[in-house]
Amino acid sequence: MNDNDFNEMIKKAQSMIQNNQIPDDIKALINNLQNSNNNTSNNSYSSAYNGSSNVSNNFNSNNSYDSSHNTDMNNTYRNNSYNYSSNNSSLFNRTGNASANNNFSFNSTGNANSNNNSSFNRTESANSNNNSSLNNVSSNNNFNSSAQNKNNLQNNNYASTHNEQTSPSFNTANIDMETLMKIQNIMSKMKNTSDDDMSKLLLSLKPYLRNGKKEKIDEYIQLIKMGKMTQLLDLFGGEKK
Amino acid sequence: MNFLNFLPIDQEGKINLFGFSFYTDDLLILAILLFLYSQKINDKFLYIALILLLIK
Repeated sequence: MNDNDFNEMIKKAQSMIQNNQIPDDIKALINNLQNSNNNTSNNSYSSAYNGSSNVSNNFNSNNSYDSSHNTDMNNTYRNNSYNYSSNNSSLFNRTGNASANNNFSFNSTGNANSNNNSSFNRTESANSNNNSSLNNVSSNNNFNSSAQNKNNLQNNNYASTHNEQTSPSFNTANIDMETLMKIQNIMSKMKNTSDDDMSKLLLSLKPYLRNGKKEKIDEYIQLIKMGKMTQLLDLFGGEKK
Repeated sequence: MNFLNFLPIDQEGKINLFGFSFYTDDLLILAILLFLYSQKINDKFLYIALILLLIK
């Protein structure tokens, strides 16, 4: 039995798997055989983000994940690269069309090559409604296998048009020092208003009031503090004429 | 001798002054308002709080 016959058998087995004609135990056995065949033939792997094509890559890894990339995925990450390797088989599927609201996290620990970064954490979230805008400008997947280490290296470089509206984090780069100083000034004044003379006068008047008015004292103090806060917040207003 | 005996206070504790009936705490607030105004205190929020207490 040569390699061609073996590959044909595997193809037939794959077709039977796709038709659900084989039980799960045999599926796992076929996958193991397929992986062993791929290891001996030193195949190079490649994948591409195609809208309708499904690329299945089998390589040595403990990590398996299915990442579905929607075309409307506003990726908030850029230039993420990850490397992982291990000695077991896994199935790596990438499909171009998938459902929206894609949240996945991929963690690879413990099985990484010593030359690679052992931890890879990526959380990708997108809020989309199956629109058609494509924000992934480029994506490159390169799979390399080395015979000695039997490691599989995958590098994904994502360059996305970063949409700030979908970014959940507040962009602090737009805050200048002047605004920070104003905020600090307001905060210090807020702290000082807690023990101002007005509050002291009203609180000292409280024991001499009727019960109905005693209850209102605290409300009025809070109300007046809010009024003073509006005066302080006028600093943020537009240009005063 | 109680000072309140010189004031026209009825059985409910109200004081009739110039045809208006006040409680003692209302008179206290009015006195504070007059004092602040005479001292030219420029704190409108304090005036608002005292007037709110007065008309409660």
